Amino acid sequence: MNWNHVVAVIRNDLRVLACVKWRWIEVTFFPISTLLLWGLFTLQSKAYAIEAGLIVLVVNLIWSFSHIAQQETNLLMMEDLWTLNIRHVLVAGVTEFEYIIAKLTLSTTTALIIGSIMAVIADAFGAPLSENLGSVLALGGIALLAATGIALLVASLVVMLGKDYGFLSWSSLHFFIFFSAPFFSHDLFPIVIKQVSEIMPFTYVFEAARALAVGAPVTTLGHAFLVSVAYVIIAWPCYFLGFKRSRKTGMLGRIS
Amino acid sequence: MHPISVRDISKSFMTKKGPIPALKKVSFVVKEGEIFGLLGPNGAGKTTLINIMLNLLTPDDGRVRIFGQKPGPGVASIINVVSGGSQFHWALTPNQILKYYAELYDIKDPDKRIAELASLLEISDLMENKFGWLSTGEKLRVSFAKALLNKPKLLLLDEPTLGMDPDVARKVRREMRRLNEEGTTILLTSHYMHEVEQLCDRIAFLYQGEIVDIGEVKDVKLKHFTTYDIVLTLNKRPSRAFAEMHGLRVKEDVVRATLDSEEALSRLIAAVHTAGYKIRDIGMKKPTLEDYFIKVIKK
Repeated sequence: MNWNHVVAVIRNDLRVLACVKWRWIEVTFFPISTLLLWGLFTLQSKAYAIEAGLIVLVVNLIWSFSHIAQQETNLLMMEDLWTLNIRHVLVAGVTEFEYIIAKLTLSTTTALIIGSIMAVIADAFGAPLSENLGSVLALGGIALLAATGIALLVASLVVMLGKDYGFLSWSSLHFFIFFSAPFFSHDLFPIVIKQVSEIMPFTYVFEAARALAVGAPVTTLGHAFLVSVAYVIIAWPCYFLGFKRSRKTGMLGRIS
Repeated sequence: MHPISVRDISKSFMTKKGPIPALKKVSFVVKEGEIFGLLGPNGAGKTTLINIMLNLLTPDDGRVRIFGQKPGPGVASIINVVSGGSQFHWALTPNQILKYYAELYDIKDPDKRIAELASLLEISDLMENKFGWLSTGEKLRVSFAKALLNKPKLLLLDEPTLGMDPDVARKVRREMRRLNEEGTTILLTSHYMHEVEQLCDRIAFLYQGEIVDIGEVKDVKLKHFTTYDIVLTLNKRPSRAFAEMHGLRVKEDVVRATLDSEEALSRLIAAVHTAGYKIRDIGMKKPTLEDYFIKVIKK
């Protein structure tokens, strides 16, 4: 592992982010403005269903935080694919591992910064986050693990199938979240979908988030951790297999 | 240990119609210090071969070695590449791009090296412009600067002067020659046959995934062209008997002949003088690599 490579890739991604304004708007404006809207809804809901407002607020916070972590990893990679820059990066001796570690480091840092700002806002709107800091941090860590697993899976699919599948960078998390029962218990799903939701990375994360929001005991963190770790464990070999397959089919040459 | 050793490389790509072979048991070596030309029409397998050398593609069979090592991160410090279609991030400036690669290649005193290359490739004035704003030729010069950053022992040039204006292309060729004289081995693919002819010590001609010819440029040409055409303009139309005796094609005072050696040309000139004719103009068309390229494809 050459840390100079990792640092160089991160520094270059920061240069790209500094030059491409829409990326900053995407990372900051949309999640924060959405959270503000739900925060205002929470204030409004005080009059009739405060718990509903708080659940929406906290779930939205975790959702956006995970989305930034996963989407940024994959979009940073897509920038290299769209500009055909990845060829030169790989020829310069950057390994697949160094490459993704750089992307994950930057996206995780970005998610932590924006997530912290969003958490302060959510707290100001009444979400009981500061008084449950331990659970909040654990929940954030688990959500990051799950987002990392999905980012690795998306990266492997894009490397294997080509740039046409770049849309997975911004849409894949929604697929997982749809089956993760964000605002309601997954018991409400029909039995087949319920079974699917049990292996979704965010089902138990959202269950914990909902409990946290209404001051109920948070009991699903362990389960959420195990599922998220399983995703990461499965995703790492998939990522390397994606590159191996891409080298075999010629896709890596075509996308670079 | 050869800079490039390719042994029995085969590669097929899977399509809806079944596997399409791109390379069929290709073998050759590129010797240290030479400029080696890899020629062939579009789809011949040149880029496939270069991608294998860059570890962007795995062969089905055979092996490639770069200075005795497998392609990949292990050879990154001694190899670099310029591709005609090379791109970098549109929003970054050449200065930012070159700094990035200087960091990846761990270049000591990167600012000095970047300034040297910017001056050499005449991009000093463009260093703060966005890459996306540059012309094709300017982009290629940035790509060339990137490729020279780590002073590679082996340089792979895939259509390096494509889109460059003739003056800059000439400077780039001069730089290739200078690098080569300093010990850099170069593998060049180009559609500009005069460029290959001018630069390369040896060439391999790749056609439909196979090497159909390999050797020094003059030897490859000699194998296919044993004659060359002569055009003489005389002071008057030669007699029919004289033309028939020397196998000349006559049109007014211009005669054409196909000869197989320079000695035959000397003999013809002596015969013209002896017969009392005066030569006003003489032209000779030697076969070029382009003629060879076209001949092989037509065959």
